[in-house]
Amino acid sequence: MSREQPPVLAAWLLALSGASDALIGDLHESFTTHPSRLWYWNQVAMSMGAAAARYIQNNKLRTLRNVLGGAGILSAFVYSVACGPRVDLAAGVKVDVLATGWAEVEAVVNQTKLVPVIAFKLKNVSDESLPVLQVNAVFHRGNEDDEWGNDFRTAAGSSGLPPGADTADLMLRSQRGYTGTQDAARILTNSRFVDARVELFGKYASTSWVKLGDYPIARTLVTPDR
Amino acid sequence: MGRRDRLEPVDLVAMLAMMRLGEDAYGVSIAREIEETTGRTLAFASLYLTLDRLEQNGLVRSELGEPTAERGGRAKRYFQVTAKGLAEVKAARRSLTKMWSGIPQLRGDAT
Repeated sequence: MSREQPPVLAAWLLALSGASDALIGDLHESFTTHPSRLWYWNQVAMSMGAAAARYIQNNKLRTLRNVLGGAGILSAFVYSVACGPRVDLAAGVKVDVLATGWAEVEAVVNQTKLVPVIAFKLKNVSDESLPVLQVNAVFHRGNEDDEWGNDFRTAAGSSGLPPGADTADLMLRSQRGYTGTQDAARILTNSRFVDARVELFGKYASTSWVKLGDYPIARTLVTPDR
Repeated sequence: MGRRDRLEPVDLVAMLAMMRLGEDAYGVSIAREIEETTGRTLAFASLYLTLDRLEQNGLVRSELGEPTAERGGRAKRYFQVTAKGLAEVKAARRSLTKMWSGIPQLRGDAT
């Protein structure tokens, strides 16, 4: 269990919202089990929203403008300053490439289709949990800049990838590849076969996509995971 | 009808979670039980709105436990379904079972 304490400002706002001791204690307990500042701030924002709803109900229209305006501005400002994602993903995750290669996928009858694939997992080497961690693989043929297929996965959901943790093994593959009447092994040795490469991009929460790496696709057969 | 005294779906789910948890039903465990059983995530503020309403209506009761360091020195608030609450849960089950039965699209769909 982490000894990390909830964000001080968020905890102060939570108390200010009139949240009960039991609710504050529940959030504190949940935070020490799964420390995520983003999650805690979300809970605080919802508690403040609930407090605003109770206040409006008790004081009707006269306070509606003040509560929505003040709480909204304050919450948005504090939330953006204190809660924005802070990890540079290019340095915050380590890509552990398990394999690259070519997978045989379904094609038309009597034809073989090979597509480039990359199997990998990500390790969170930062000190922050990474919620809604997503990866995108963009494949290229030879030295071409044009995209030759892409694949996308959500590697970690809203609960986040904790510091030091690994994602599950991921396999991303292109929709495009080579199709022929030969078997897979012969296609790989065909004189006109051009190798491929893949760029991996990642993002988490509301951050922009950042490039995690550029990897050549080995000229070998791999078994697709589905 | 003056006040809202019907059992809302979230009320029923919260009460069922309490009954499943027995003596260990407090905010964190109730939220976890609901999430693990139904896949639905409730914000703690929403959960406590529900629990407070249920207590006001006499369907659940609560008592404070001991404060602990992992909770920043704050006590847990344990919840239990009252006899009135249990009667409401049973009535809801009878009503829902009647409504669900005999629907061709749901035949053989029990989990």
